Amino acid sequence: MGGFRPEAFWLLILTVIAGIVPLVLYLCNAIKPERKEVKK
Amino acid sequence: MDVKLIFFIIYCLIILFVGYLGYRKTKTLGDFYLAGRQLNKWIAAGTFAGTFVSAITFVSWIGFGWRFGTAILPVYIFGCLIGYIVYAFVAPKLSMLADRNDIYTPSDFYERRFDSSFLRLWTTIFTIIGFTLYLGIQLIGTGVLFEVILGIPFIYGVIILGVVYTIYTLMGGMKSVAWTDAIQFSLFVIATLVAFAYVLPKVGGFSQMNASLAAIDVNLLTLNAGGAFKPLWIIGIGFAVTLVIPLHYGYMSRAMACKTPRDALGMVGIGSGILMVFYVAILVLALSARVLIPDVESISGLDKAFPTMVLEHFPVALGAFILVALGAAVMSTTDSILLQVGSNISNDIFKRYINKDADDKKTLSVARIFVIIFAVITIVFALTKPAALYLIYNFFIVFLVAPYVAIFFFGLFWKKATKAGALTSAIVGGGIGIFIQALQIAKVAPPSLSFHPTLYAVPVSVILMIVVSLASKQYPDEHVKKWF
Repeated sequence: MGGFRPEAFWLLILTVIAGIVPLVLYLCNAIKPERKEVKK
Repeated sequence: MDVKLIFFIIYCLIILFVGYLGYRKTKTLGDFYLAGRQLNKWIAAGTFAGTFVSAITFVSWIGFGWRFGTAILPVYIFGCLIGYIVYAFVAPKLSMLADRNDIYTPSDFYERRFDSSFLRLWTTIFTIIGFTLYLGIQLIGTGVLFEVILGIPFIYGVIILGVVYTIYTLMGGMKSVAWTDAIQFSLFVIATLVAFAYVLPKVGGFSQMNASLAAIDVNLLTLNAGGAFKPLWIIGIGFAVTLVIPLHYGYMSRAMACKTPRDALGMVGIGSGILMVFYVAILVLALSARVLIPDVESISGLDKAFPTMVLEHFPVALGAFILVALGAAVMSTTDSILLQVGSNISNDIFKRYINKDADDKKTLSVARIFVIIFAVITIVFALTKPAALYLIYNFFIVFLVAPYVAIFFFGLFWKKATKAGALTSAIVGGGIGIFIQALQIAKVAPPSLSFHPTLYAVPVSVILMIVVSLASKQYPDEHVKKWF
């Protein structure tokens, strides 16, 4: 655990995972709002 | 002349040139406010993340980590990354709605979603006050950096940087800001990673770094500074930091400036992925700073921890690179705020209340004039040099969160949110936030009100939004269809 206390170590791991979540959402194209209207 | 100063001057000239290129491409008001809604995910990610990381990150956050150790993780860093997840769910819809309804500023959205001109005024006022505080502390952070690293007087540091970013923001609006931000973001991420790679072996790697910290003060390894911070205090700040990301006008505008909703999601995804790596480096830099400067009495304040480490423990060339990177971090935030305030005043006050018939050319001129006026005001504010920046940072967030939470999230995702619900939640939420903040500043807040003001304002405003909306008259279908 690199000398970190367990609670700090696991929060660090959670932080890393949280940082990747939006990237995964993008790569999976997971959030698609209603198709926008094309302006004439 | 100091090599660091030469590096910095060359850098400023390059950035001004990029800003000039943005100026040549800026023809309309839409170009100035939102880069013609043509930002792709890469440039948008650069300006989104560049806007978020600032002098506060390097000066105040590292200073906080230097003083309180791994408590920086739950207090600041973790909340940010949760905020990016929240924003990932919001940004694509915001991008789509802004394009569909021809919205230029967040206050535009609030007025038109809830059909309330008062809401536009109320939200604009809160934003301008919040951003004045924010820009002021950014400049103070800059002045501290220049003073410690370059040895030039605080006042000159503030003025030099203030003039550079004001010029290019003035010229090209969002186009200049987005392009320069993307360059500046790349630069300070690289510099931070180089600093991380340099300092970690210097303190003996992770295990030795933590062992050294334990020898200095075992509380540095805890998440609550050895019990000095109550859980609700930590949660309050983390909660506020999380919410400020989707609610910050600068970030909302970036979603609106994206070419497509998918670009908006890409902006958050790419930005968040890179920032996560960046924040791990910031954590290590903060902890290493304490190992290298163990005596808290040896420097005059938390805000000087990082610049002191750079000056005393880094080689000159790396120090010069980091100074330029710090300037980049400062400018990529301050330019965005300056642009946002110029946009808000020209679009939401001048064109809405003072001269409704103003054409785009006139409104653009007003936006530029207010960019200058606001820049001067914040430089003067910065020169007053208030105390520890991280305290002010905690408070300015109230202005950017308290009135908006319910109207933003419910406005985007709840068809039944009404004008009465929106007005009640924005006024009471904002009022409670400011009132509790005032009690805390005056040091008369009872223990039960001693946590971050957003912790009280947000639940009340959300409950009011729900209850009042359900009890009041719903919008006709044609209004709801514009937003859902």
